Amino acid sequence: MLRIIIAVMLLCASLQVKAQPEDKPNILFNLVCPNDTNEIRLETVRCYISNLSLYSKGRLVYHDSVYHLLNLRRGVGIGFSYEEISSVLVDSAQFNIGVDSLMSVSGAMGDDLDPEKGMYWAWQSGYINFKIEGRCNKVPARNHEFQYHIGGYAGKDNALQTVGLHMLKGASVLSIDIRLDEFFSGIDISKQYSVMIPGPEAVQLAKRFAGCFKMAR
Amino acid sequence: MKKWCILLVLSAGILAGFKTNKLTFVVPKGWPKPVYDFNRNPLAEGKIQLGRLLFYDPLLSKDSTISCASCHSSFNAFTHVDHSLSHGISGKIGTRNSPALMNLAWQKDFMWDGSINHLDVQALAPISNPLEMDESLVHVVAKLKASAQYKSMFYNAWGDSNITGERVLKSLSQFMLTLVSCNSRYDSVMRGEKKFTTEEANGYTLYKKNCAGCHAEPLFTNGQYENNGLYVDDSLHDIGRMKVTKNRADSLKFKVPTLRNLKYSYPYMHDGRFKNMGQVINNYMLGLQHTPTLSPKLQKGVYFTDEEKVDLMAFLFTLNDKSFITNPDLAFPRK
Ligand code: HEC
Ligand code: HEC
Repeated sequence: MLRIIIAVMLLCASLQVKAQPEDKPNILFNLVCPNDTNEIRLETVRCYISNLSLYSKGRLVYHDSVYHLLNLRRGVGIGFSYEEISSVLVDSAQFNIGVDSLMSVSGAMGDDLDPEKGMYWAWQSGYINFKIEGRCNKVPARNHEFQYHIGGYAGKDNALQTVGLHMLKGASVLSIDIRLDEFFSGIDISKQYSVMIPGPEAVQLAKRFAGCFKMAR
Repeated sequence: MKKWCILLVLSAGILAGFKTNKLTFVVPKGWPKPVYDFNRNPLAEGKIQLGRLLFYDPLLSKDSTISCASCHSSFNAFTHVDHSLSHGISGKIGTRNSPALMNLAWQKDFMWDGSINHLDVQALAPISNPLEMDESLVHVVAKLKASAQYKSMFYNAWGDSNITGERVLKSLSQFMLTLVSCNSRYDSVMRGEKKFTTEEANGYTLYKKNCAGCHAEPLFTNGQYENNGLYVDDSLHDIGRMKVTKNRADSLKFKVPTLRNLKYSYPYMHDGRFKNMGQVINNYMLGLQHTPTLSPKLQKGVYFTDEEKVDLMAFLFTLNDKSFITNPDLAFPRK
């Protein structure tokens, strides 16, 4: 009986954090994919969002220190709703894309940071901040597959990005687009189609990805 | 916030029931503070036993043939039996010699080049290496979930039968943290229980002069990366630490291994090139390669007379800890 109660409560608790759009989230992430003429077929888009702060008129109204792994798909928004501020009009958000260096050197973690989620490198320690995988005919590799596994936490290879977004008028739902169309329009995929290790190339792509987070129009 | 609070109270109640099981890690007298943060993963008997079962279980490999112990056998101070390069799944041969495992609680990073930054995440490397166990953590977790024995072991260890990657890794860490070797003849001399023979005492002096700069007491490693003058094996082309830091100054540097339990852990060096201690000492005397990153500590070379060699060996022999390799608590768990 006790276990059922715990299970139910765990379920409620997780619903509380990861809400479907109809649950009126405070913040919502939407994937904007490249249009088909680019022939880019996305298979995986996953990223960590952490250290999320929400502001209203310059005042911090909520801080979420949980590490969230977003599994993004076309047409499905991922929202977080926070009961405490359900009626607050939020106008700004700041968050990190990725896992910071402290968490990257502190051993095995649970929940969304559990290495079984496939976002941890095995051969060299550290989290993958985001993964973008798919196929494109322009890619000269096997099966035309491209993959970006972007991470790195040490020194100048640190690929963690902080994003701050602001809109003039507060809204009950802060809607953020992840413009992967812009991500791909800026790289030559026939040359840069596989980046899987920390380094300058990964940092450059991390910056490009961070630049794709925009307030929805 | 209400739901969260209730949840927290409940789970605190669950944990309290297991508090009695909490163990304290004993630091041998005179040893430094461990690097491992036990607060993040407090030792408990059930977790250690679970980690031990996992360590010896070939279920962790793709075809259930290879366990951690296949390459880290207790009788060999937890390294591979007499292989220079480790042998993994389907007899595939790896690119490095498996290190002896001991006193891991004091180690900051892992692997010959330090590519792993924490003991908890170490196991991910062999589990997913196609030359070693060729598995994935998520699949290992699925296999464990299908086992009634593991379900009950996870329940006993962690307070519920939820099997996660984090728990698998932390349990493995707990077992590996118990691999403490601190009962060699050297240790009893340091504790004042025994005395060195004249040869051993002379060997100790020679060691302090020539070796201790890198193989520092009491762990017999300084935990640093050094180039000890080995020639480069053309077939492996292992650049060591530079692979991780991408810094030329780290080329050919490898983690300084301990000198404890050498009797059981042969062959030696990152590629297992030396079969016995005679070859090792001869190489320090005659084989030093003066590459640009050779450690300043070895620039002047090392020289021993035949008698000194015998004495140095006699001292190194005092570092063998039979109680460690024969400890039944660390051996294959008999059910
Ligand atoms: C196929 C042989 C093989 C298997 C199986 C294997 N290891 Fe290893 N292990 C190695 C080798 C080789 C290294 C050194 C690799 C390197 O430096 O690149 C190593 C390194 C280590 C180290 C680091 C030691 C140090 O001093 O830096 C630890 C800890 C370890 N292994 C634990 C494990 C655990 C736990 C498992 C089971 C999940 C396991 N190993 C399975 C061969 C193996
Ligand atoms: C400059 C630092 C340094 C000094 C001084 C030094 N060593 Fe080493 N030693 C190392 C390093 C680094 C390795 C590992 C090298 C490798 O595998 O590439 C090593 C490896 C060894 C090994 C192999 C251990 C194993 O498990 O594979 C033995 C034995 C050894 N040293 C003995 C000695 C002795 C005896 C002396 C003194 C005469 C000495 N060393 C001096 C750095 C040093």
